[in-house]
Amino acid sequence: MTAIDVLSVYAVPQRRAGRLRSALADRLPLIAILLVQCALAYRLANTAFEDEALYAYAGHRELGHLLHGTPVGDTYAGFFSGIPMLYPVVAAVLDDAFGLEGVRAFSLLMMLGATALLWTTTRRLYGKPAAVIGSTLFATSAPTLFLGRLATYDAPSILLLALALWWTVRTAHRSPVLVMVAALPLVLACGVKYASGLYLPTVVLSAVLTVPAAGLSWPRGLLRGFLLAAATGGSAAIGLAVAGPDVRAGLSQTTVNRAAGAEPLVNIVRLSLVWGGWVFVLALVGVGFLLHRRRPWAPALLGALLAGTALLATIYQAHLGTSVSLHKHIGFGLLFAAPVAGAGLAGLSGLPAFRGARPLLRRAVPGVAVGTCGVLAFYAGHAAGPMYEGWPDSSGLVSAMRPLVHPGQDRYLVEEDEVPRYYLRDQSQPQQWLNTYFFQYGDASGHQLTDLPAYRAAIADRYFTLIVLDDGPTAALDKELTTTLRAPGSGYRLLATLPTETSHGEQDFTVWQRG
Amino acid sequence: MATVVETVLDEERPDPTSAPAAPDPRGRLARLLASRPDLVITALLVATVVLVQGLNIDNFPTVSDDEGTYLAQAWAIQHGKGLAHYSYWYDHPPLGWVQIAALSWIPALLWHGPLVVMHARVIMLPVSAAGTALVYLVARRIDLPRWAAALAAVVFGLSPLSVTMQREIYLDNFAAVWMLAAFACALSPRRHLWHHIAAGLCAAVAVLSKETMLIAAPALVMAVWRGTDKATRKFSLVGFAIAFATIGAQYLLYAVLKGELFPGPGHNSLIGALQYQLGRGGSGDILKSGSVSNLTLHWWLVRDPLLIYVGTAASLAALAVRRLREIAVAAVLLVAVAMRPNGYLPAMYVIQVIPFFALAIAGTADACVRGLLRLRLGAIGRLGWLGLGRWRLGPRDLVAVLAIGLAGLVAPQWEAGDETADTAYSNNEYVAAANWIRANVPDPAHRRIVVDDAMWLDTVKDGFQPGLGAIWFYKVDLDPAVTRTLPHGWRDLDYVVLTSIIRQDPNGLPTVRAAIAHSTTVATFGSGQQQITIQKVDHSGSGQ
Repeated sequence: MTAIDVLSVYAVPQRRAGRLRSALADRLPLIAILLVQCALAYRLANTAFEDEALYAYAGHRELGHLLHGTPVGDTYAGFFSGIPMLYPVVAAVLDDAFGLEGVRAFSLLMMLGATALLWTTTRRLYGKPAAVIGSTLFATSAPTLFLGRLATYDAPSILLLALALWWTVRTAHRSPVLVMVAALPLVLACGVKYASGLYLPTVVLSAVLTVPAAGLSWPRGLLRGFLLAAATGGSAAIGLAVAGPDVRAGLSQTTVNRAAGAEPLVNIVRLSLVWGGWVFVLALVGVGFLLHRRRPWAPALLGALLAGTALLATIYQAHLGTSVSLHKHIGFGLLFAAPVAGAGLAGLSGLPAFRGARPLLRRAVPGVAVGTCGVLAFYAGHAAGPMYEGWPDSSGLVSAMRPLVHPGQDRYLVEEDEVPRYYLRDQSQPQQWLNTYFFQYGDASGHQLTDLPAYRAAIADRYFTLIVLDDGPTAALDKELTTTLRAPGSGYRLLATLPTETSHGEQDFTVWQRG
Repeated sequence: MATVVETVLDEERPDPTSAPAAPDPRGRLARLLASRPDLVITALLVATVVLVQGLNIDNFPTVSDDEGTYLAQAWAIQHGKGLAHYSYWYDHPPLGWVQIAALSWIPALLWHGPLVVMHARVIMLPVSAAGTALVYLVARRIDLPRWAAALAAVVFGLSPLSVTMQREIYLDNFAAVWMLAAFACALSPRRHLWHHIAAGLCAAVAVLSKETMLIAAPALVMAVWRGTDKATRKFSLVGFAIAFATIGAQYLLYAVLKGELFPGPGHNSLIGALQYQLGRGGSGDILKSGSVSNLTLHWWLVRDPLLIYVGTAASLAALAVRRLREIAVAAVLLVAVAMRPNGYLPAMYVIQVIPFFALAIAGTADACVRGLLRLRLGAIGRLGWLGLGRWRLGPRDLVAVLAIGLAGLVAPQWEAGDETADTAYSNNEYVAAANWIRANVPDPAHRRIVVDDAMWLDTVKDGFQPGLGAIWFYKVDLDPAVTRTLPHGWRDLDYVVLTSIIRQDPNGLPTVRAAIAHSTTVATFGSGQQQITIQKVDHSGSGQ
């Protein structure tokens, strides 16, 4: 062994350590952003939201069916807006191991992953300053913070979309066939949450535009787009065929042919502006910088595509006439708009908006970006808080019900039964829980009743062991039921009134017990 | 020696060594911005302020009795009926509503429907535009950079309190603009004698528009002192004083010529009015909870707490900055007068303070920025530890962060306030009542209707006899010329339009109170505080 060989033994690890240090130093802004995202997300605290409780509970039932063959007890596929065998099962496994906080931590991990993927995607498209700013804008936005603390299938869907987008950008210079790999996360994203399909065209068009934007030929880009579209379409078709009629019915009912609401357009636009408006505005600025470049149109088209994607949720919900879940869906659009917004704000700060760009200012003022991100993060924190406090803290209710709930023949009528049913799942069966959305009851004469008459007849027959009302989504029905319960001889007594507070105001749980 | 012809030819002959001038590659706007940046910035600011203040100007805020009074007095001038729609009693110098009369062709051009007052507010847009431009000009003349001058104009024109008050037909708006013009002339960089004379003229017009503007006069004298060269200061000060006194004396002269300088039986007088104004009950201590002044302050704070708090603090701080001192003195004097115990503090008083607050805020911000830019951040600013080795944070970044942070905190509040001003409908009840009277009161030429001044012009337009048929409610009991025509008291009245203004103030008006007590409600519009009812007086003596 020569002296040079000896030295090289030591030299290699040193180089590796140096590379690691350098890589870490290079990604320090990302690490800082992820830490801030974690810290801001963990400021949000509440008991389970009804969707969280529903998905985790459904996952437990599906898991029980898979492992032990126990009946599921409900056709979740028929009304879930994602395949029940995907996210809910993962959530149930995590719930068994770590509880609800564990499932929420999984969501946060997904959103952190999305931020990291957005960083690397933006860096490839527009350079490091845009990556730092774009990731910060996404990580600290209200929908991102909210979804990072919500155990629903939105977070994994966003991660899968981010993964697909990153891959299409990552492989822009490589063989067009490689882009087909992105079909897997895309189809999976759509399976986890059907509404993710709204963003498939963006990813496919990105696969096309990233090629000419990188200075390569348009036909090559078009080929990539065709390959990705074909692979995604084929996989989705196979997936739908395998999934069965229940899933297709659920897809139709919850997403494709969802019942229209009557929410005014102004409200939907206003809420969209509050939750993602500034990122969209900055993305438009980014498009302006790209247009100013006066090079082939592809980079500007790609920027406009990504920026315009931020509008999809608003347009879709305006078409449906509802703002339900808008705050979550805005987050999907931000994933695409944030890179261009990063470029826009970088340009406004005098930093290069993209590689080779001429700065707007003679001397860079990164403080503009720092201040803007700080202000937007401040307001995002203020917007995410009321979102997360939009449902009542159910800990008092669950504590009050715990000694009264037993497996067997008892029936529990609870306005939003998903939450106590989830928390008390070890001491009750699914069929024991009923809610105020729909109820069918056969009276003594054998007539099948529905809605208010059914509830009244059941109360007269003292069918329910416990009744919990909270003037929530079925407040009008609650009022009628309360009158019935208060009437002398109803057979029920008011056990407790449990005051809670949400961002919409005070809300009381009233618990009635069969006398 | 070269001849004249040779010289001229040489001048005209192009230099063969120099290349032909390349066309300027910049666009027209860029060239204009480069050559006249202040003009472009001012135009943009004025356009923005006019847009925000002009939107929904007729519907918010609720029309006030004072607006109607000034407009009715302007109507009297236009129709050759004297200086007021009733006897002019020297309540204010008349130049304010003379200006309103001069501008009244603007709403007449645009609109002819019900409720004259709310649509006449469009008169105030050129006044606001002039005010915004003058604030920018004064800011530049006290050595503020463009961004600070623009900030002053934005505070002046876009604060929710400004948007609310500056769109109302108040004399204070005219006075404030003339006082700003006086400051602009006094601080003219050319230091020309005529500019200082113009400052005196403008100041006199300001005071004759609203007499309380006199409070800022010491600050203006300081500005003239600063704006003059030591060598010509005496001439400038004398010119300023003579101009001010010459115009100001016209008011006195008017009273003397009319024989109304001193109090006497059977006529109003300037000194009598002054005695009344000085002797009338104040509105209480501004800091004492429950006083009328305190309620007024509370109302200002509801519209924009930032302008009031930050403006007061900035005015005090600006006293310490030499180039801001005149502005600070004006603001502090106006604040001190507002805070005097048991003084009279009307809601519109704040209009006179707003321009000086705006300038003090912008000036203080500029002083802070200058201080921050001198800071050395050293190692703190290096971003190498964040993997951003190429960039470093300097004092400019600190300023940027602070500026964006403050803007981020203020802008949403202002946006909310201005959105209310631009979308709320506060005059629906008045419009409905005016329409009802037009459609349902027969033979108006021979009817007597008691209204507040916000509706007075409408009733005149409907055919009621000005003054004695359409009667401003105060005049029923307080003007002998009107009282003489009501020998049977309330029985001589036909209708009372009961608005919140009349409901607040019937105690000193026994005839109005009796008419209301002996009347029946024939129409009701709205509910709560804003409710308006049309009361038909029952001449037989019954009522509800």
